Amino acid sequence: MKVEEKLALNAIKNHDESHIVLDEEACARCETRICIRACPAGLYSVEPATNKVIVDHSGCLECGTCMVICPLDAVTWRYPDPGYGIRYRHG
Amino acid sequence: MSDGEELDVVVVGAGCAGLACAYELASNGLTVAVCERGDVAGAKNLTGGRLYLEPLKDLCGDLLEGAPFERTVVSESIVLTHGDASTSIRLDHGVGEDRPHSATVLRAKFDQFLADRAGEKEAFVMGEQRVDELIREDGKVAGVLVAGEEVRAKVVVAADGALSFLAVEAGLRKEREPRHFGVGVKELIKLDASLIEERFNVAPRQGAARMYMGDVTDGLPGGGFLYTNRDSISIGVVVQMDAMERRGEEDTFNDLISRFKERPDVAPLIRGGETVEYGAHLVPEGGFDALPELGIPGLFLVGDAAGLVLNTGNLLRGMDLAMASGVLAARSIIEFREGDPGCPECLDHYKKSLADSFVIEEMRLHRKAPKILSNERIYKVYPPAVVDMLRSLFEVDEKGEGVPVKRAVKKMRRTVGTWAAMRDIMRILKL
Repeated sequence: MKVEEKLALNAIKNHDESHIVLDEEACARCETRICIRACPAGLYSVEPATNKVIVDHSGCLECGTCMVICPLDAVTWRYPDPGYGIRYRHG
Repeated sequence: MSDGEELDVVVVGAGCAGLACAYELASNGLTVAVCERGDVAGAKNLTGGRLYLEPLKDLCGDLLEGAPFERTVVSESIVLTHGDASTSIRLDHGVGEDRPHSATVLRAKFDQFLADRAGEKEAFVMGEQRVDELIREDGKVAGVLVAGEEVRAKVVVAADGALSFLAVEAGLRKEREPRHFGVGVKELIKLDASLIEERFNVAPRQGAARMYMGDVTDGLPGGGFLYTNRDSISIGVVVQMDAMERRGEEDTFNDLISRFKERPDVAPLIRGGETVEYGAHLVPEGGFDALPELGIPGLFLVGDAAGLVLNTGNLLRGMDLAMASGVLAARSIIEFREGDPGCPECLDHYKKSLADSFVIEEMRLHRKAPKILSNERIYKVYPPAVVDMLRSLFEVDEKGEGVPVKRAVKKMRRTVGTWAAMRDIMRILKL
């Protein structure tokens, strides 16, 4: 099962605006790009055309791994606005 | 509440620490509000997981009366994995329904139950209340800001979880270090209760807990876990965050958990089940030496926010420590209710009672555990060595020969290195 399929099982209400903002300058000089494989939801990827790291906040599990693991402190992360984000039905 | 009326306590976060705290406070007649960012209690919470109940008998006995536990754990296993083989140590013990040692839980249901109980005692548990900031006045915390509105209280209890933005804001945690966290990922698989009972050889309401070590995490510090719930299975992996940093491969968590589920010794257990939820959560695993200061005047940290988690390899405890810390914080506040519970002495009272409790005592006792468990040989070297040795003992080759025990052990000693192994064993014995 792909991670996208698993995320689709969750109860979630995505906000139009992202609660995760990347510091593009820092990301540009990042060598590890560890966020890409560290994010349990697989939300980080490299945009092929620009070779930039991008994040799609839809589906975020709100674990905070990206913010904590980022070696350049390039991830500004806050909790989604009330009423949005993941809602664990089982937990 | 926004009309300037001051509460006794505002609790931030409706998890097990916050709700145990709120319940204790409200039961003693204090005015308490619990601000939860999710729409209901438990909406943002995730556990592996199981709750150890014995330590909470005195502290939370009344609160936990009638709680929606999934299954009482009567079967424990530690499984060493290597390729398609594994070896396990298993303990089946008949813990009675009346005196459970530990129980599996699912947080949506469990936290909602705790919130209802706190509500019965007239604590206000409010959803969709994201606390954005602390209010500070006269050198102490005097409340919180929720969507720009002031919620004033004599004391704020930060039960805001592993990421605790409030602990960071208060300067209690300088930064969140990757080496102090595990990343946990879990799938919930629906499965008929009767199949669970058949496959795990347990009676109705009884269940199993299994911990996996070895290539389930690709040899990284951490492990796999499996817990049986009433009619579902919680299965997942936890990996030490800084070990992920050291690793170069392109494996994702989903790859790890997918391979784990496909293992020949795991797949039959979950066959026919349907995955219904996928979650991830951080586990503060830094242990005693990573504990932050437990507050500033007017602000008390409890549960994950305070880093109160104990991982000894065979025990993974968080929720019992969380609930105990919540109750102890409440009791300190109650002790100072006639005066000012926002005074430094009240905070000292909490620190001392926590230090004297099993929470900090156990964490201190196992303070070396995070370091010992970060030794990658435990995950990379020993599981294959043990599995291979046992396999050789149970194989007969085409010449009709088996391997004598002596030779099998000798071979294993060569693989693991006798002295290195002795050293590691000595360390592990200190856990």
